[in-house]
Amino acid sequence: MSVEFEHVIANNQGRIRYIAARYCHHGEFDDMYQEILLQLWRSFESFKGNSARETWLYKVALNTACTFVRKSIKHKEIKQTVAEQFIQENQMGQEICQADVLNSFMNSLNDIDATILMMYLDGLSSDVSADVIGITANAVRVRIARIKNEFENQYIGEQS
Amino acid sequence: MRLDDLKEEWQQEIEPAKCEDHLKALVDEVKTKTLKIDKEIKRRDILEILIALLLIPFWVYGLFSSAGNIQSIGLWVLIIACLFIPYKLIKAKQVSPTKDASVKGFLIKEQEKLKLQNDLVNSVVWWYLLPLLTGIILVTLGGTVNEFGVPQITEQLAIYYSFLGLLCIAVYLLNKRAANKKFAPLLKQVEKKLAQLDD
Repeated sequence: MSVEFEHVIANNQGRIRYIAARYCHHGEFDDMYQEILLQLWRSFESFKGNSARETWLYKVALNTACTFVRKSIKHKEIKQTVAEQFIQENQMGQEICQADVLNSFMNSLNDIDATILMMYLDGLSSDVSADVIGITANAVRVRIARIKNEFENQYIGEQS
Repeated sequence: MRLDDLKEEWQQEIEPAKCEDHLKALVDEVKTKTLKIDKEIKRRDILEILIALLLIPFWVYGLFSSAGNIQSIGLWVLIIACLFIPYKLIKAKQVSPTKDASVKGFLIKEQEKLKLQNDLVNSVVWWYLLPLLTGIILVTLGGTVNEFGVPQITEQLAIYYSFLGLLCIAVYLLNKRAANKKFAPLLKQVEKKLAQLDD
């Protein structure tokens, strides 16, 4: 089971890191990342494959990130943007224009919309996203359309 | 640029990790940490219940050599408190949302859990401090009764009760502070996310 778990984590490390980066506050990325891994491991033992592995991973990672108890909630309200953290770690020296746009747009959304966008970009269907979030597939589609509109209003014409 | 143009960008960002050795070490660390945390939680839970339960024989023994009705009532209050406090703590721990539920389902359960814990901490006076304080006062006061059954409050006893009273106030304030610092912001965070879901 341990090897299987390592394999799951290796295949989804980018997703987990992105979720941790999106939800964490300044200087708490490592703590949140490790907490997500810890909860995944805890849940992996009882995971019976009732849902797809991707769905399970998103649910556990998002639920952990949503309620992550910060060390000092009142002192750490300065949210580090995903662009700052994720780009610094993963895009050093690369062309970051599109990543920059994506991350700054992601940061302009609330947590739930950002999560839906994450899953949409990841290629998950509306039904799967609805299962992860706990709303109807129709509600997910409506939100995606709204997010798309918002994005196009903000960025269309800026780059060709 | 359209949103769908960024799908490729996203896929690149979440590409699987290449560094397997580092990952293996990380997973091993997580497993060790999980085991350690689970052991600590189990030990703490057992300790909480054991302390309360181990005191019961002591109070029962006291009942057989009680100095009078006041002391007996105090001992009964302590016995009931020692049964009720662990029950209350165990009951509060039973509301535990599973992490593999949907985000909405998890948040609703988490909200319920946080409200329960918040109420528990805010009402600590009624289910924890007051029964213990009443029990201790009745037991000690019952030990000072004269031949007419009237308790005699000495100066030392008055100082002792004042100290107990201050201790209870301190425990209450510390719990209240913990509730305000820990549960209130977390509850607000959960409620905010639930509101986002209903947008």
